Amino acid sequence: MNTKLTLAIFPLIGCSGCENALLDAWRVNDDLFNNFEIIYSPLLADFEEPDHVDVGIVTGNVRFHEDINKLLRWHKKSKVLVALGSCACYGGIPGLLNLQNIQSVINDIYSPKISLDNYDMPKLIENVKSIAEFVNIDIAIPGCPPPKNLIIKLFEHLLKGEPLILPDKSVCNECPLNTSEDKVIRNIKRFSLEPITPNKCFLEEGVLCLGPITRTGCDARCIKVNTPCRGCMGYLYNIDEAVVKFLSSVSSMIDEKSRNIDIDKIKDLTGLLYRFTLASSKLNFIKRG
Amino acid sequence: MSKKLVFHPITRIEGHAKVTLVLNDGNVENAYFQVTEFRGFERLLVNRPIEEAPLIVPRICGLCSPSHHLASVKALDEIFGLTPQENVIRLRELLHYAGFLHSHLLHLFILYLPDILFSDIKPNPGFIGMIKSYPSLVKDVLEIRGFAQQILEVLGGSSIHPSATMAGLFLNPLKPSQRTELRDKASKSIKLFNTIVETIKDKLSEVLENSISFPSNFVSLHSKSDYPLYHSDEIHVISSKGELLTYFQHNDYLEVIREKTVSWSYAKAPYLKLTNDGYYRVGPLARFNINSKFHSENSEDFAKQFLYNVPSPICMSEYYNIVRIAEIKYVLDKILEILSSERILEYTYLQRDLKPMNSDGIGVIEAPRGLLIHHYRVDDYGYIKYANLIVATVQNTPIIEKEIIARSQQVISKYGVSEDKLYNTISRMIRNYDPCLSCATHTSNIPFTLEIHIKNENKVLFYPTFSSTP
Ligand code: SF4
Ligand code: SF4
Ligand code: SF4
Repeated sequence: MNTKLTLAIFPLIGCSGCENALLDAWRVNDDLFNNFEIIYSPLLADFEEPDHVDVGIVTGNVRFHEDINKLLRWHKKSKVLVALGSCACYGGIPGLLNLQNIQSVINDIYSPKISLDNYDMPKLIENVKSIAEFVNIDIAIPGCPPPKNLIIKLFEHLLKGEPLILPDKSVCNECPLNTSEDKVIRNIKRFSLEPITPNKCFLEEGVLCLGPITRTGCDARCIKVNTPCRGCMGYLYNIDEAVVKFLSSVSSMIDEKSRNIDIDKIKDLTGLLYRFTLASSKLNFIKRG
Repeated sequence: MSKKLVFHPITRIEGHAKVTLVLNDGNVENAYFQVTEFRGFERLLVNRPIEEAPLIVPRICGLCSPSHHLASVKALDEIFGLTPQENVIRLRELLHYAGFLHSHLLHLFILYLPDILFSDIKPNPGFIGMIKSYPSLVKDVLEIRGFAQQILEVLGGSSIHPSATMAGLFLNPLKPSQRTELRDKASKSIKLFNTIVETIKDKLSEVLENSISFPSNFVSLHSKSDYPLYHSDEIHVISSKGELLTYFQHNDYLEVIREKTVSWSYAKAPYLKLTNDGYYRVGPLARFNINSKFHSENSEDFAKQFLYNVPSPICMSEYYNIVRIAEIKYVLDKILEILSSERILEYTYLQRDLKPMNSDGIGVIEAPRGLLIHHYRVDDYGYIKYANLIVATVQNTPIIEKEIIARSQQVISKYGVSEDKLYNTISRMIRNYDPCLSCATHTSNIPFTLEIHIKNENKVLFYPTFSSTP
């Protein structure tokens, strides 16, 4: 008898990295995954969209009007709806385009104008959105891409009901770099363009690192290859609140006697602090262009 | 009477696309390969600090993220006027080859092979059918993919969207124990892949017997001394007859390749300025036709059986898949070669104070799907003012449209207007190219006059000044 749980992978606008991460996780643990039957995934098979599915996994963000209808439909069809990856959870990096006026982007890029109607093309919405703006999500697995071990945990949860709780610790907690007692920033430095002391906390070296506000679960994988955290797992707090917390703690770390703080080096705070989450901010950003 | 047939979605390719065929009295009047997604990375890069670009651009594509990362970093090398140490280059290559392995295996065995193995089953069960009917083949393929994944994780922290390298630097050098472990796995993977190829060889030969020639120009990096996936900055353009139409250095790319918009797709249509019709192919087939030699034992052996006996240049799209196999063998050989030498461990993490030396940086690389160009312009502080990305897939979309017309016409003359047969033939033909559509939709307009300035006088970077009309 077939008791497998059915699975549909519903793609919105993403990069297929989430699906690829799923395949990578599959390899390590096929015993677990063999309890599931994929009945829909345009990337992996030609199957028609099902009427009902046990688990619907949505990847990517909402970029077109038609994405909203798809999402509502998939929500209805799925017993459990999972948002997989930071695009689905928060909008992801493409959310940065919300700082610009989409109509002028389109006019600028596509001349002669794209004849959307003549060729029945999907129409863009003004801002990239996460899927949470439109439907209730049962489970959110963030990360860009979502870490393998979280994907495995997700499937263990779906199969055996094992509790699925995202870590409530920050990336700093898993960070192997050395921190000092006093935690003072004497200089603001740009990553990779200015020398820093090896094996020391990026933030204390003056390189902005979002580790303190970012939820771990990724095993601090970027820091382990000497890259500062850019916050892809999303924040431990409400997004805008986290950003304020980050800025206030960084400013309190700055050594008052230091004259080396060059403000030009941090021209693009928005693009840093909201790298993966801008589409989910409640702030009204002024659009350029 | 004119009639429209819409095939939507095209499955087992990366991203969202549909095909619209316009028929008139049983003749194919036109075909549109329509990319129905939009991501806009060229625009969202503007105003970001240049050193963040290599961390942002991998998200263009979850299948070939290492290529975007590396093309970006090559552009940064130029902006900061750096020539990386030999070992930085070797480590970058290692990352690149692992990326090729990860991507090519996905395409060949998970997206494409089901076309051959399940040609009679409807709907094609794809990867899900593979798991059920060919579990040990799937296991072996995923095993080698796991090896690629491990290299990417060890070097770049993550198999998808790695962050491994920055202007002039490699951020996370290899440790001795990692080298030996990976080296041993490389030898195993080579053997395992050879046996995999043996099992599917006959199936492949069958398909090739029915392949149809579709002539076009070809564009790729060129090198005399190696099969150029990372190294070269020299780009060759050949015709369907194999004549060298032109060659140019990467920073002259705008002189040769231009882009125009079409009104039916979110992807633009690049074209060659120098030819009448402008169509060309990029990717494995173009690389092989232009370089015609692999410089690696395993792939040479394979090429003798499958490629050298076909008149060159090969204009049959089915051969994309064959060259892909040869390329997998090539990158496996290269990975083993790099890991076999202890010299890869001799790495000094050389940190410097970097200021932009050039306003423009152009990084060119062969991504799994073909020629990839990242061009950034920065201000004096190193903030991005302008970004132009010419991505492999977008260059293939115009020729894909042409080939859709030709193939559909053949189907209709043989079987009449059979939607089933048309869909099968068209989607299968498109899959040969392994299009990646999330890659294809980032285009921005090139300024009317683009002057590329050079400030860094002690480097042999040659930047011409030219003007252009979009
Ligand atoms: S979350 Fe990251 S990996 Fe997933 S679709 Fe978005 S960009 Fe790709
Ligand atoms: S701020 Fe960054 S570098 Fe410092 S401890 Fe936290 S995660 Fe590590
Ligand atoms: S270290 Fe930060 S940016 Fe890197 S994977 Fe973890 S959360 Fe994402």
